[in-house]
Amino acid sequence: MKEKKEYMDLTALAVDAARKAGADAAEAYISDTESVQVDVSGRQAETVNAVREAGIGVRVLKDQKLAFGSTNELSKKAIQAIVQDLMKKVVFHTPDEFNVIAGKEAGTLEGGWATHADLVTYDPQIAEVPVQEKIKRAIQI
Amino acid sequence: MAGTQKGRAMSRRKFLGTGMAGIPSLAFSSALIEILLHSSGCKSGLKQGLEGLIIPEDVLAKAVAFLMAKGADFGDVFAERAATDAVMSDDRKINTSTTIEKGVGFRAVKDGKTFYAYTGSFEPERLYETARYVADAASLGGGREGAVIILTVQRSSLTFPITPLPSEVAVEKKIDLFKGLTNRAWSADPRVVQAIQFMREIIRQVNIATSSGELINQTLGLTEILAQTFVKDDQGSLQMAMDMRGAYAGRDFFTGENSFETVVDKSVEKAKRLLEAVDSPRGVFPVVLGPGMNGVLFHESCGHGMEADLAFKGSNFKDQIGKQTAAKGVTLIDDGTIPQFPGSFSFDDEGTPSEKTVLIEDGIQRNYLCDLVWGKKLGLKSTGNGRRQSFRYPPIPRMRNTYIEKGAIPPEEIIASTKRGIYVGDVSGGGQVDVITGNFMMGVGEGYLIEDGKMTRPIKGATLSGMGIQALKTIDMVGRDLKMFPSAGRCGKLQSAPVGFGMPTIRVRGILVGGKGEAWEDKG
Repeated sequence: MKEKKEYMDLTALAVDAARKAGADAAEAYISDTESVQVDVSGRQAETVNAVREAGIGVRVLKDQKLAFGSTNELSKKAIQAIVQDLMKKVVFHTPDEFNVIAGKEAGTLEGGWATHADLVTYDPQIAEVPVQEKIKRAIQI
Repeated sequence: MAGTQKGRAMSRRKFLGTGMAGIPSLAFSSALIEILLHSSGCKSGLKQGLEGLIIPEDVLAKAVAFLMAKGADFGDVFAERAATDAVMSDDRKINTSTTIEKGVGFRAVKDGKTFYAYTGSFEPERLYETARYVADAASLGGGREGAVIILTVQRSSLTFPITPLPSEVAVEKKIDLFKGLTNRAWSADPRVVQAIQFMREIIRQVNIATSSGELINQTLGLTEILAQTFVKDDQGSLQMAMDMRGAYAGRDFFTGENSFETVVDKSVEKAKRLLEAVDSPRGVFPVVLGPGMNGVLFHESCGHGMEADLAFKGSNFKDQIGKQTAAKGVTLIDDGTIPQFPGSFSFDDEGTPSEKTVLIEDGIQRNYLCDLVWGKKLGLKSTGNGRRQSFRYPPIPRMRNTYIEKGAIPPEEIIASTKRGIYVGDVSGGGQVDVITGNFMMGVGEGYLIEDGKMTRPIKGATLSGMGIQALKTIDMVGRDLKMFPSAGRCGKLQSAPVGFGMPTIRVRGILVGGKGEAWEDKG
């Protein structure tokens, strides 16, 4: 999936940027969310809110010091700026022997992870239901 | 100029399928954080006007035109960029976090219904697509295709300087400050077993373009500090106390009783005092509420019920205009124009100028807290209370800085005339409220017995329960010592919003006090 590849490239960019800046380890996490929310009051739709958003969270680890930052600006420059900011700040944090980042030291993942289909946690048909139908359903409820 | 919409209705799938990754933004560069913190809107005096707009005026105007093309009654485009820097010391460990966010919200209102969507992109085509999507969702016939929206920048005499800007303080200095605060708390008393300090600095710039033609460019900088201290004595009694401050200002605001050091010291002092405290008596008897922070009690139990959406839906303040909802002598105000206070701003989040709103005047209900949508439903004009947590949310009626106006009685006279009761220094002990009925329960963080007209021993474990209107109607003394509290607390109503509180010393007779001490009756 093209988007997934773009996101994986961006997470790799963040981790690589952190490692090049001196991090012992780094982690990047991207979430991409779609939602439609219908609020019904007095048997009428009061608010309809449709959303798609994505954002990245980055953790960097250096000398047992951990720093976190996030942004929904998913340009390469913005992600690099966030990483630079974290690396500037992390040196002032308090070390903790329990600060660790899970995963391979190189910061890359191999394939083979479970998908939504494996876990049966997502029904793609939900996204195909027209928003007007969802509003009707909410009012019925 | 808005384009023709015929045949351009966008499916939800297409709308949601337009990815954001990789789309270049108009406003951000590699120096993302620096641009955010040093943008012209944030510099000295918060320049207002077209200079420093997040999104160009013509793009905003075109997006509003798309929004209105299918017959919405009104609509607005809300663009925002924000940077949050936080420093925290917990268990002697100091850490920071950084968040950069941006996005644009689109609202179309049709027949009182709100249709809303947002995007994280500033790219013009993406903005137009989202505006068209919302217009389609709100479409019920009619429309003004091709309408031209002319925006006029709105100006205000209210300004909120941020001195210094968070970016002007080196990271090293912030860390040094926190090392000092941490040491201050831990070394204050050998019984301190845990201490937490938290500071957050937020720079938030918004552009609001409305279908009425208003264009707002507003930047606010919010600084908040919170300290929490836990103490434990030889008998194993564990107590916690906290203190906080927040302001739309830079750290220069935090001096004197608002200084970071004072916040830490007060949290330590209050916690220590609880170790020496006796169990609170219980029953219905006079409660003297000290000035300042206790205004939160009336914010929760009364203010919410006066928010136009909740009043419309049936809070117990519904249909009360012109009627008595508080004791004579009680005036309740919600003011969004107090310099530097956390509920203040030049314009609310739908472009209405902020104002000072009298809700109750000498015991008589005069107004509600209105935004455009719910004010209209009540037949009232907006009072500038339309607020939103961020571009992710449509505006709803919210409080700003809510307070009881001062009376004429010296505070010491209120205590001296109370034979038996309790004095509540603050209600920082947590609690809950039903915002529709006004039923509340709040924990007393700092309290004392009043015996024979004198404040005596500190108490612990006290709770205050009652109903908002009943509490307001049983206020029998209002002090002259109005004190405003720049709170770091956030009001939560599905969305969070910075708010301030205030009140003078008052005495209430209709509150139920809970505690493990002996039962008391009202003896005056």
